[in-house]
Amino acid sequence: MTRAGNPGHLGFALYQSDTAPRGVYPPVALYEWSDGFVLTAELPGLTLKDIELSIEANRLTLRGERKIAYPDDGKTSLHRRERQAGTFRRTVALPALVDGEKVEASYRDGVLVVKLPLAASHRSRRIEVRA
Amino acid sequence: MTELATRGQELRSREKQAIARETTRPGPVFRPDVDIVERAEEYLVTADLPGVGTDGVQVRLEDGVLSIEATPGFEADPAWTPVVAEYLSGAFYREFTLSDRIDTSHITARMRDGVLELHLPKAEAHQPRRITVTS
Repeated sequence: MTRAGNPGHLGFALYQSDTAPRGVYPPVALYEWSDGFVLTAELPGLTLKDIELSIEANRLTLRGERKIAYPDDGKTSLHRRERQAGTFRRTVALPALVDGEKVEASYRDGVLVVKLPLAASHRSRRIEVRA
Repeated sequence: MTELATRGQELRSREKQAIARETTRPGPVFRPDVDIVERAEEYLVTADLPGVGTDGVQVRLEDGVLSIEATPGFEADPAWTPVVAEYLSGAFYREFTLSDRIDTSHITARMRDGVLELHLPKAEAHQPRRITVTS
């Protein structure tokens, strides 16, 4: 679901997300705040070394692998298997350039939170008008 | 050797399944994905509960019904303006009827990185035993 046409705090009108084709993993939530963006994704059961994040201009890429393994000692049987294991790779195009060196990411309780401050050139500036 | 772990395939997102369940707090309630594995001495129930911390999950056993109820601790900061929401957040609930082969007093639960792991030991009488045959 995208919410297009609402100028956020930063005045971006008509933000059109690169609406992910159905099935792309992980689904993300994107927020605006005074300094830039925040992206969150639900990625339960990962270890830090299984997540790879990279930023280039306004593109944030999430890559990783979710591993699920059960000991197989010959006496193990699967009654129900609903959780998925596998790899993921997704690039999200952000509405503006962010400062790659100031991006912060944390992972807690299975949720990845990425804080993306705007690049200096994209911050709003007050322009002084002189007579 | 059976391959019990799926690796290498690409993950696909699936919409969370909302269930009709009234709780004291308003908001959607979702059915978490669960794996159930039977081993020689125990059942292992694993549930994906993203956003839920150790304090946010309650596991109950009543009249042979095991229930998992969880609330995510992670919430978006109210100062953030939502721009795109590709997934919904809300509480989780799921229940299972257990066979009476479980030693209910020794169930253990562990919550880590949004995954709940429940160990349900089988009652002594139901563990496979090797019977020595003598002549």
